[in-house]
Amino acid sequence: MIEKLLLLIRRVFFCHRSDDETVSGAARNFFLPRPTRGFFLRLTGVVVVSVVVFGVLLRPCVIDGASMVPTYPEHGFTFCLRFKYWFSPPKVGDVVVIRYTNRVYYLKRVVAVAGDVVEFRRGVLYVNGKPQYEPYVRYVSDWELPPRKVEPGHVYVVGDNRSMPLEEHQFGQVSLGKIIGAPW
Amino acid sequence: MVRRFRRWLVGLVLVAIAVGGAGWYWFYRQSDEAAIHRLLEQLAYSASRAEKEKTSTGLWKVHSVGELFLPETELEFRTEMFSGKYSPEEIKSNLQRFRQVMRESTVRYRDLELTLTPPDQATVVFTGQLIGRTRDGRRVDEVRNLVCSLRKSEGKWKVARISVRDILEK
Repeated sequence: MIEKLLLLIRRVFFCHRSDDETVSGAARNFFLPRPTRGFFLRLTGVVVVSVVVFGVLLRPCVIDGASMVPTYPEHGFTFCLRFKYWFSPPKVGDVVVIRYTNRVYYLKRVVAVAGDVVEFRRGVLYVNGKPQYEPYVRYVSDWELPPRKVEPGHVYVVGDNRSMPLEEHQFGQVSLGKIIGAPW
Repeated sequence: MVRRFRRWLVGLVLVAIAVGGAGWYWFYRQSDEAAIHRLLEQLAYSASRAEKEKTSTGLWKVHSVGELFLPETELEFRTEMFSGKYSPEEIKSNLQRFRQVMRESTVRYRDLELTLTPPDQATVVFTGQLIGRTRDGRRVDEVRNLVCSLRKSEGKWKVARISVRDILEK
């Protein structure tokens, strides 16, 4: 059974003939393939596809921080879909990935877009004077924030976890150019 | 015969690509975008400091930064303390004070969004990052959004205004 599996793997991935049809021969061919032109071409293809997929389109991210609990737990793992906002801007309610430094990104939720007036009264979010229904917020807060208008080319983002004091929570308006995608 | 012709053709195409690339690069270097990039690189370089940097290098950096600013440059920070209008001499003096506080510092910029307003104005929005250590050992790692207004003066781009903001502004 194992021998058949190894032979199948070799046939599928390496497609080269070998007179050595034994298990050890198949294993050797699998783990130590012959450095043929075909092998290097396939290896190059795998590397290029991996760089494109995981470097450009689906960037892996480790979540470090509790600002989006319980929607995204701390120490969790996700992929950033880089292509999500290539053709359309984020909408209210979207969770977005914001670039902070080369290796650090924020994960926040869009609560208002350009032109909206945002404020917090006793922990309740008001947009344009109307209280917002936020079922994703699990922990109530007592935040007080005077009204401020979201500038053109910006959106207003807040984390889902509002159990910490307002000063400790990183939120606010951010330029659309800093939004690099959405979590999986 | 055909093979030789094909080789000539491939060679010609490669030469054309090389000449085209060199031409594009030469024209790009003359462009306003490239000039503004060089200005920002010079600013970042002048504000950076290696731990064992020579005094002469530091002096040159401080001196050269004055040429990058207009005679009156407005700086706007979140804290009122540093906001105001500064002359190049005052900017050089503040930069020298900053460099004396830091044992080492690296200033980087990225995510540039450049808008040119012909004939002689431009606005650059970018993310600036300061990483370093002060003389008393404290680590510094600050990231800010910077909005920089530039004006062309005597054929050179110079900074007219810098506004420093947080990435997320409450």
